[in-house]
Amino acid sequence: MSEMTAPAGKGSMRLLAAAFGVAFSVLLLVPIWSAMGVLDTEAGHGDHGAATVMAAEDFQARVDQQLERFGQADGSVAIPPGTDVFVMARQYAFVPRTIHLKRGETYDLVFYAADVMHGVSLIMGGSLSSVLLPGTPVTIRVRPTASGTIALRCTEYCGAGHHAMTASITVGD
Amino acid sequence: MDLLESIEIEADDRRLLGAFAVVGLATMSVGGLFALLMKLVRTPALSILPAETYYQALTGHGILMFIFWMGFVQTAFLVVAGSVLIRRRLWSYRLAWAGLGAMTLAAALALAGVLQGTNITYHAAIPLAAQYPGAWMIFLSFVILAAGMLLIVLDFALTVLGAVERKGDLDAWAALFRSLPVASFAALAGLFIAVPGLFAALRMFGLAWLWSIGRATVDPGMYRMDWHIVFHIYHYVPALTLVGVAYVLVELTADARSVYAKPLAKSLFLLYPVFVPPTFVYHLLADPSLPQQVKLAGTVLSLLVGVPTVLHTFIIVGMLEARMRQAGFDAAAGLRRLPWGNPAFGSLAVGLVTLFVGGLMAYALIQEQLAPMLHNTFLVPAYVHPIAAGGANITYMGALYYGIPMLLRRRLWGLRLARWQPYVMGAALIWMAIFGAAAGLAGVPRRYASVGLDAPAAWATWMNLALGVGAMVAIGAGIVFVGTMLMTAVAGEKVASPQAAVAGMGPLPPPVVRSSGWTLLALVPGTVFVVGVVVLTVLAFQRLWGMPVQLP
Repeated sequence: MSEMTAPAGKGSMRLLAAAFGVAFSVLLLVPIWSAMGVLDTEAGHGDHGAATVMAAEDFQARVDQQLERFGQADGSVAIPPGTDVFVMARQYAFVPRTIHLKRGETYDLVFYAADVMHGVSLIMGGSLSSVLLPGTPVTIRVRPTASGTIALRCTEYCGAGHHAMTASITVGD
Repeated sequence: MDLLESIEIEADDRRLLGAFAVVGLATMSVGGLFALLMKLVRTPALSILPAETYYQALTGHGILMFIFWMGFVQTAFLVVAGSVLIRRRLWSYRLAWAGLGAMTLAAALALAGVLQGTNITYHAAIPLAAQYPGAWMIFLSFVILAAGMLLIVLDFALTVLGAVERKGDLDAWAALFRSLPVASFAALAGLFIAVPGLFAALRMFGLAWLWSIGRATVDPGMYRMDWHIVFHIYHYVPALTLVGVAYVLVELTADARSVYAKPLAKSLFLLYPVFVPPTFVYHLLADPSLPQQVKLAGTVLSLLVGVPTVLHTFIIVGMLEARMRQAGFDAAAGLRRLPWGNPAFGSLAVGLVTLFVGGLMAYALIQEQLAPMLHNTFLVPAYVHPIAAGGANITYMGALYYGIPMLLRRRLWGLRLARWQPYVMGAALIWMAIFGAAAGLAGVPRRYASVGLDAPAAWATWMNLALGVGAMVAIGAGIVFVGTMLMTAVAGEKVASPQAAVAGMGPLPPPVVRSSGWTLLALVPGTVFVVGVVVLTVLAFQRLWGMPVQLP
C-alpha cells in the first residue's frame, strides 16, 4: 500500500482554483434570472399576495354572498371577469366545489383555510400551488389561457380525508 | 501508517457501536417496511390498502428514516470519529450509552405513537396534531431524541477537548486540528450546526409537547417557521456526515490520499455552518406569509448551499484520479481499474452519483420563482430520495459493509450479492427520481393517498413507474442490504482481526509507481453539475411560461 502522497504542485493549484471557480459559478444564475426577466423584487407582484388575518365567519360571509350573486342551479358559481373568487378550505372540502371562469381573463382567487393548514394546487398541464395558513386569506392572481378544467387539490396534509379535498374550475370561452 | 491497518476497535467501542448498529438497522428496517406499505397504497396499479394506512405509513417512514435512522448514524459517526479514528477512548462510555438509550427510547415512543394512529407526518403540524390523541408521544419522542443526541455530542466534544493537554495554548489547539483526520474534523465542524439545531429542537418540541397535553399555547405560524429552521439544520448534518464518511471510504477502499493539503478539506467543512443556516427559507417558498424580498434573498443565498459539497466532490474524485495516475494509468484505464466490485466502494460511488442527481433537482426547488410550480408536488420526494436514501444512506451502507464485519470480526456474508446491491439501489432511486419528477411536473401532489378517479391519465403512468418500479426495487435492494448484515452476524466466517474481516472485499489499486498525480478529470462532475443546473433552470422556466394557467 502507498505511503506516498503527491505534492500539490503549480498545476494542482491551478486545478484547485478552477474547482473553486466552477463551484461558485452557480451564482451565475442571478444574471441569468435577470436576463430572463424573472428577478422579481417587488412584493406581491407576479406571485401570491398575502392579506392580513381574517375571522372565518367574515370570509364565510363572502363565500355565501358569492353564491347568492353568482350561484348556478347545480351549486356551482360562474364568476364574471373583474370579480374576486372566494374559496373556503376546510377539512375536507373546498367551497364552492365548481367554479366557472372565462378564458383569457385575469382573476384573483382568494383562498382561506378555516381550521388547519391546507394548501391549494391548480392543476392543468402542470400545477401551481400555495400554502394556506389557517386564518389568513391568500390571493393567487391567475389568467387561464386555455379552455378546459383546472383541478383543485389540497397540497398540505390535513388529516384522514386530505385526498378527498378536491374542487374544479371550468374555463370556458 | 495505512488507515485500515491502523484501525483498532476496543471492547468498549465494539459494544457501543454494535448496539448502535442493532438499533439503527432495526429502525431502518421498520422505516423500510413503512415505505413498502406506502407503495401498496400509492402505486396506482396496486392500491390494495386503505388511504388511512398510507398516512400512517407516511408518518412512520418519515419519522423513522429521516429523523431517527439519520440520528443514529450521525451520533454513531461522532463515536467513531472520537474514538476509533483518533485512537482515543471516549470521555465517558456511560454518557454515550445514556445517549443511545434515550434515543432508543425515543424511537420506541415515536413508533408507539405511529402504531396508535397518530398520522400527523413528521411535520406534526399545529393545530392539526390536536386532533390526534397520541400527538404528545411524537412530540415527546423528538424531545428525548434531541436530549439523547446532545449527550453524545457532549461526550464527543469532551473527548476532543481531552486530547488537548494545555488548553490555554493556541499552538496545542492548532496541533490538534492538524492531527485530526478529515472525517473527525467533519464531525467537529458539524457541531456548529448540530448543537444550535438540537437546542432549538428541545425548545420547540418541548413547547409543542406541553401544548399537546394542554399546558402551553403555541402559535401555529411560528411553530411552522421554527420547525423548518430546525429541520433544515438537522438535515444538513447527514450531508456533513456523508462527506466525512466518503473521505474514510475512499482511503479504505481505494488507498487514495488527497493531493491537496488536508487543512483545505477540513476548512471546506466550516463552510457548511456559514452557508446552511441562512438558507432555510427555501423550504418556505410556497408560503404566502414570507415577503417576496425575503424569498428572493433566501433563493440567492441558497445557491451557495451546494458549494462546499461540490468542492469536496472535486477533492474526493481527485483523490481517486490522482491515485490511479500514480499507479501508472491514464484516465480511462484508471477509471476501469477502480475497485467497482468492492461493495463499500460501489456504495460510495453510487452515493455520489445519486447525490448529484438529487442535487440537480434541488437547485430547481430552491428558486422562488419556480416554487409555485414545484413545491408540494411529487417532485419533492423525487429529489429527496436520491439525496437522503441515496447520497446519505447508500454511503452509510458502504461504511457498514466495512464496519459490521470489522466490529463482528466476521467476513461479509453474500459478497456477490453485496457487490450488486448499491448499483441496483442507486439505479432504482434515480429511476424513481426521473419518473417522480415527471409526475410532479404533471401536478401530482406529494403526501397524497390516492391519484383519484378524475386525475389526468398521465398521473397513474408516472406514479406506477416511479413507485411501482423504482421505489419497489429500491426497497428490495434495502432488504438485500439488511439481509446481508443479518447473515454476516449469524453466518459470516469468523476471523481473528478487524482487518482480516474485510480482506478480500475488493482489489486495491496497484502500487504507486510515481509521485505525481493530477486531477483534471475531477473537475468534470462539478462542471457538469453547474451546466446541468443552468439547463434545468431554463427548461423549468420554459415549462412555467407554457402552462395553460398563468400567474400574471
